[in-house]
This record gives sequence, structure tokens and C-alpha cells, in this order.
Amino acid sequence: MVKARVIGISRHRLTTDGDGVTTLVAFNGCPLRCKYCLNSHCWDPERGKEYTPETLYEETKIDQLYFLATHGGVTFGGGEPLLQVDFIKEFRERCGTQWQLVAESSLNVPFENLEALDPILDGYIVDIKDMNPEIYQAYTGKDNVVVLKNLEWLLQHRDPNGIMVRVPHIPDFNTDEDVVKSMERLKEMGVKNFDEFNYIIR
Amino acid sequence: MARGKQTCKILKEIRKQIAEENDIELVIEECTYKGDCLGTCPRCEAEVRYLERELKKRQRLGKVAVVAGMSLGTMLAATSCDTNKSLSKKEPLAGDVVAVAPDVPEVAKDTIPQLEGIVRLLRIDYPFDDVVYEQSMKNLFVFPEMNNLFIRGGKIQYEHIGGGDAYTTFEELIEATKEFRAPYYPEGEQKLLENLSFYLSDYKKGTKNYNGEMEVVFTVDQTGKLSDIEIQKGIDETLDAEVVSFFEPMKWEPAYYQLKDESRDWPFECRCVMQIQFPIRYAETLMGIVPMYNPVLLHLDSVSPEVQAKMVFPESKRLTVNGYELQIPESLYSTYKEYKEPYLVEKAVRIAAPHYLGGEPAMLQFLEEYLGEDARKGSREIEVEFTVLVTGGVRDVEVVRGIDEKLDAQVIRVFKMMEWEPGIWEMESGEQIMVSCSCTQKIYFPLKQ
Repeated sequence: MVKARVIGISRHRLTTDGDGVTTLVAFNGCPLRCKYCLNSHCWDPERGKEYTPETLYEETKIDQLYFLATHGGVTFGGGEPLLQVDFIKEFRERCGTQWQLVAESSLNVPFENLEALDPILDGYIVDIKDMNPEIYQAYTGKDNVVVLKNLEWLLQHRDPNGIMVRVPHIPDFNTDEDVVKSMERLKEMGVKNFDEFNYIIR
Repeated sequence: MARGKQTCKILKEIRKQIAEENDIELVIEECTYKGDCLGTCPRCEAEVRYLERELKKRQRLGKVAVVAGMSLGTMLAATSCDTNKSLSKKEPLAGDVVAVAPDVPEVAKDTIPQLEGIVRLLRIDYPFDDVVYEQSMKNLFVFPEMNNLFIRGGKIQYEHIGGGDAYTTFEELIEATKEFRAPYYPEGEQKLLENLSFYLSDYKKGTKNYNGEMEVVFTVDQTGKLSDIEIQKGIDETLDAEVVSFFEPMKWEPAYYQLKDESRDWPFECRCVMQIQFPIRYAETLMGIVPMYNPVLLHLDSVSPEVQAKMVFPESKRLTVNGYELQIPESLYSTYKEYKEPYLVEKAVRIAAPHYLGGEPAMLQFLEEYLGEDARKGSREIEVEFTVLVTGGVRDVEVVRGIDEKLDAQVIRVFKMMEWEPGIWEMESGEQIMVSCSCTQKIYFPLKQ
């Protein structure tokens, strides 16, 4: 029985995670250690409530009417959702084809995970942090080699319109120029949808 | 929390649109809930459940449930600019998650009245009014498999053991109740109608010679036994008597209510009204065709040339087709996952338009029989637009080019009584998909024999 720890479920989100009315399901667990992470309790393996795909479906389906009406569904975030391959696969089997399932991910996961989940996902929201490997390493504590490879694959394998790349201004880590450079590189790769924004430091 | 109210407003708008699109009666009330609102509350949630039930009912009757396609964009644009900013994509996604701990329910605990002590059975003999029962109760009622059943009154009995407050008012009971379940015929309404139809089949050649709506009123007690059966609105004295004797020995599932804090079901006595439309129509399984089950709806606005090329019109010379609504059975989902028009059209080998059993001559004969004198009126062709459902029923009848108001109204009345063979798409794989079809039929008046 596949289980996963969920650190939070946020219902009735409007257009923050793609089309329509969505429910955000945030998983525990992330390979990164970002300095300004807003969900750092996802690094604690004990945090959150355990769900099976069945129990999560039971809980999220109360908003099914809104999902169907507005082309919405469930956005998986966290934490890193692409670490929960089997869970999300089974969830898709339960919820059917009409719910939009979107992954909000750093893409810093083994390619096999991405390859396995791609067929059942409807879209992606990728927070790229920064395209510069040094800046990325400084901010997240990991390198972004795998991120770039995964993103490249994604852009070739799918319609770029279904991929939203978020490019943050990270105080003390990147400058406005860095952000411009990141966006230019991403444009060259084929990214069509951008969300440029500012990180909030708590 | 302005954000919560804003969310609530938008969700309410979505519910309103769904209700409008599907002809569901929805009372839109101003929200009087004071305090922190997360965008939803028990009343709003109850409205969603109510809409879901109504949509299921409609789907079972073969109606198309219009749910998809509500633009959130226009709803957001309609709200004030300030609040729009707060909903912009620039918000950090993670920030909102911090606010919600998974083990705290979304709605504050004190909005749901807490049951103190143990509830067993308390006697409240509350008669609720008529067919139109209170809105609050109405939202909590479920009707398992009974689309034409209404509740006229009931007696709720439960008693309280132990300390704490007992329910002494109807309002308190409503607050504490999760759901009321109406009585139902165990095999479902369609089976009941089928059985009634067979029961009457020897009587004056079946039910087809009668038309109109009959209302049967009866009491279902806590054991499911029927009593005090009356025909409130009848059709024919002897037919009415036959229907009463059909109802008498029936055993139903009694009505139950369930409290929010317990999972036990409490039975209660209920007076019900069942509307039966004559002639009796029930959803039949056509030979070799998979019946509707969890249908997926694809609307084709007009009949494209590609579709036209594959169309056949069995026994109908003066019928044209305006559009289709495909209802794909669950078993075929994986095959037709894409279900976009070009893909489906490509995979269709033959598209059979709906037809009247016996062909156009039989249809004209039916018209003549039920129009009576009016069949001899007029001196030109009329055009009737209508939809044939997968159950063979006819709805949305409109006279596009008519003769005069009175005759047109009669034509519409008779068309609604007709039973047609539905349209069928035959796919490459050999499978057949039943189709609801919008058609236009040309008829020359006066009708010749």
C-alpha cells in the first residue's frame, strides 16, 4: 500500500496553480535545502499526515464539481512531488482523466521519476531558482545539472504551453541581471510561460 | 479575511452558473456567516452536494449535464481590481500551505453544533410541509435512484440518553443532521416503472393509450411497508385502481436520517408522492449497445462534412441532423481518451441518425392519431427541431417554421410523447456508442393517411 506524508492541503485556490479551481497537496520531503524555503518543515521526515492515494482522493473529491466546471484539479507540491511516483500514479487511476493534475516541482529529481510521471500529468510549474550553477548551488545546496537535463527533455517532449517556469528574484543570491540572463537562456531552450517574482524572506 | 470572502463569491458564482446551465433551482442567498471565512462553509458545501445530486438525476434521465467550460478568468475580471491583485500569480505558492495544518478541519469547529451525550431516540413528531419542504432540509435530502419521488411529510423519532442538550426544535435537528435519505424501491425507479409497465401490459394493450402525469401518494413506514395509497392526480378510474393494487404489496427501503456525529442510520416514516408519466418510458438496454455508465460528454456544435459523409438515415427521408452529444461508456474511455472531434470522426465507420421505429410513415401515423382534428389543418411544410436522447425520449422540441400558434403547440406536445431509436456511432473497433442527437424533421400539413 503506497503511502505518503502530506504537510498540507489547501483548497479552493484560484489561478495560482494553473487553470481553474485547484487544491494544492503539499508532500513531505525535498532533495533541496533552499535558504528561504517557506515550507522547511517538509525536511522533517516525521511531519505531516500519512495518506494513501485512496484517502487523499476521498478528501479531495469534495471539490470535484469545481474541478470539472473550471478545468481545475489537484496541484502536487511540497516538498518535491516528483519523489512520489507510485503515489501520484495511483492517484491518477482513482481520480480519472478529467481532473487536471499539475506538478509544482524543482525538477531536481532522477530522470526516471519524471519519465514515469509525465504521461499522467497535465502540466508543470517549475521554480528554476537561477540558471547559473553557482548561484543555484549557493542557494539550494545542490547542483542543477539534472534540473537542466530534465527541463530540456520536458520542453522537447511536451507542449511548452503546459510548462510554467517561475524565475525568482532571490535577495542576496541573485541580481536583476541574473534574472534577465536566466530568462534569456530559458527562452532559448523553448520556455514560453514565465512567472517572474520576488522571494519573501520570513 | 477579504480573500476568503472573495473566494466564496467566486465559488458561489460557479455554482450559480452550473445551476443555470442545467435548469437546477438554486436559491442564492447572501452569506450571513460572520467570522473568518476560508472561502467555504457548511452551507456552501451543502449546495455543492445538492448540485451533484441534481446533476446525477439529470444524467440518469438521459439529460446532458453541462459542467465544463466555466471561465474563471471572466469571474475574476468581474471582481474589483484590488482583490484581483491579491489573487495574482505573483504570490509565493508555498506561503499558503504554511497556513493550513492537515489535521485541522478547514471550517472552524464552532460552526457545527456539538452533540453532547449519547443520542438514541427522541420523540419529535414533526410534520414537514407539503411537497416544498424547507430549503435547509431540502439541501440535505438524497433520493437514491428515485428521480420522480418527492417527500410530503414525515415523522422523525429519536430519543436522547445521557447528559447534555436534547433536540427540541426542528432547526436544531437540521443543524445536527448530515443527511436525510428518502425511501426508495430497492431495485431502483427504472425497474419499478418496468414492473408497473408489465403489470399493466394486459390492461387495455398496455400504457401507451394513456397520457398525462399521474400522482401516487403513499406512506412508507419505518419497516418499508406501504400504506394509505391514494391517487392524487389520476388519469382513468380503472387504470388508477390497477396502479393502487400494484403499489399495495410493495416493500421499499424506508427513509433514514443520519446525524453528523454518528454513523448510525435512524429510520423515519415518510409520506411520499411519486409522479408517473404515461405512457411509461424507462431506460432500455438496446441490443448490442453498452448502456450509459459514467458518460463523457463531447459536444459537436454542427455536423461537419466529415461526419456528414458517414451518415446514414434509416427509414427517414425528411430528417436532418444538427449536432451530436456523444456519451462514451466507461469501458471505452481508454480507447477514446483523446475524444477530440477530428479523432473521433476519423474512427467512426458509420453514423446512424435516430429514426422512428417503422419509419417516417409510422411517425406520421402516430402524429395523426394524437393530433386528431388538427392533423387536417394547414397547407404547407413545417420544420420541427428536437433532441432524441439515448433513451429514445424526445426533448427540447421547437417548431422552427410553423403554421399557427395553436397547431404548433399541439405538434410539440405530441412530439414529446414519441419514442425514437437513438443515434449510434459505429467505431472502427466495432464498438457502438449511443448518441444524443439534435434533429430537424420536415412535415407537410395537412397529414394525409
